[in-house]
Amino acid sequence: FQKVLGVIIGKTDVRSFPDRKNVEINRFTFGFTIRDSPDFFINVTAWGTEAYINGLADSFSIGDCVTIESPLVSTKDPEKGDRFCPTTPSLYRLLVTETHSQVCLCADGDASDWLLPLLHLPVKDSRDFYSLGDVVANGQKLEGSVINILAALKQVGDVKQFVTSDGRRGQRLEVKLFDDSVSSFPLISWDREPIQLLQGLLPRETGRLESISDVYTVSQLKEKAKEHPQPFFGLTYSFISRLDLDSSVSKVIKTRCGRCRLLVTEDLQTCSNQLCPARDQPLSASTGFDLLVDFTDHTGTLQACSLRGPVAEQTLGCTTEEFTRLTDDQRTALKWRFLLERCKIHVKIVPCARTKSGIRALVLGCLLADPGEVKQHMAQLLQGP
Amino acid sequence: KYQPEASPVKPAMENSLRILTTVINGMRHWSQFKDKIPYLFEIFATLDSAVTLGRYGAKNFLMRDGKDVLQCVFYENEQVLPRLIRGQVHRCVGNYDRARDVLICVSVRAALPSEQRNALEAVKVSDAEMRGVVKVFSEV
Repeated sequence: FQKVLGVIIGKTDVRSFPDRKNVEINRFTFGFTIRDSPDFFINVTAWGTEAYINGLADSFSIGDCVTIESPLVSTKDPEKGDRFCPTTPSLYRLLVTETHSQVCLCADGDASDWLLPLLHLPVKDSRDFYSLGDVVANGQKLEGSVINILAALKQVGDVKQFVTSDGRRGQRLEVKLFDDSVSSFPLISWDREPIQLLQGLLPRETGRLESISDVYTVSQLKEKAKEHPQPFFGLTYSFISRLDLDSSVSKVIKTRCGRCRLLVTEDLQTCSNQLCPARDQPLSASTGFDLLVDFTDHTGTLQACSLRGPVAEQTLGCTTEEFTRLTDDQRTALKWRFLLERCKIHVKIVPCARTKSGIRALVLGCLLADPGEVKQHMAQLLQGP
Repeated sequence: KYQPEASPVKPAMENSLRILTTVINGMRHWSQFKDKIPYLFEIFATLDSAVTLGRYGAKNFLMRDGKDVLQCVFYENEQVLPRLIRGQVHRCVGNYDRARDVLICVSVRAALPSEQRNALEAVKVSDAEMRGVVKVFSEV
């Protein structure tokens, strides 16, 4: 047994335990699950010194393809550690230690191409899941079991950082799920990687907008993004200070690859992005509003916020087809319905090193603001924090 | 080797465009800092003249709040000036030319009754923000 190549489908945070032989020393560990086919995946546990384990844990994430060289194979012990690991079809688990084994990111692009789709396949029989109603009905009986749930995301909360009584740092993210049986069900995540995964998901739109209630000025949005390098949602009452609706249609409505979201020209047969997972397949593109808008208030301007797709259609009150039929004068008139007007804008702010401001803003909803609401917000600003 | 104590780093002044909601006098006052940070003004005031045609297609008119009167100009580059009714409150957004004491408007329309009722808080907030900005300037 020399080498395993697979995609990481699960990963825990690093934990430490006092060594059994020498309580003064802490041993460090974390676990991950690696998959190399639709049917097979196996748990891996890494043990070692603090430096080794932290370095290893930082070297890959869920969704990366890795090779593990010379892991130790051991039989699962359902009474011990494996109780707390995801259920796998294998009777065995792998052990990675500093002296014996090596884990490296897989540099083989071809291997990644066939491994990556495995990330999105369910690990259990597609019928083996609980509805939220099942979970509620079972109550205490399910306590301690590891189950699969099929539900939709209603709302993603903020990550809360904390320090435990014995001085360890931790984080916690609560999301709300819903399905046809239960309208809201909390799911709490304590590990860094699943939290990042959950933050990347977009909750159902209506639930999302209702859940965004924190109001910010432009400078408060910028400051918060600087202080907390994590995505967050907010509401701002600001003027739209850039809205290029009456330049050429190609600057307003764009086509992107359905897989990698890179801009493409429609007449292309395939995606031109060398790194696109679908570049060898016929182009599956989506066309929609794709605007960069600026928001300004008394504290400054948030530049180049993405206003796209259905959100843009809702904001402007027309579909892309309707827009393309407008005359130039009608487009200019549409622009001035919003330009330099005070709007109520729901945004998702994502820290992003590539932009000048260090943040990327996505508009989730935008409409002309109600002056009474603006006044309330202003009155709160006057009262101070 | 002697190391002087690090002086606290001054936060960089936000240098992007701002839009200040203000009254005519406030606009004249705050415009003295226009060379340091860029801003546009939003004012709510009563049309106090007829709209007259100037050179280069300019539309000229006077706005008044209280005792303060302001000369405004609007160029119909992109859109025509809507019909303005003398004696009614309008909303103007534009760039104040301090040397000529003229507001060069980019957006002019009748103010909604709810905007007139609720604008005062935004004026106070803009004033408070600018007092803070000016304080930072005077410290630098």
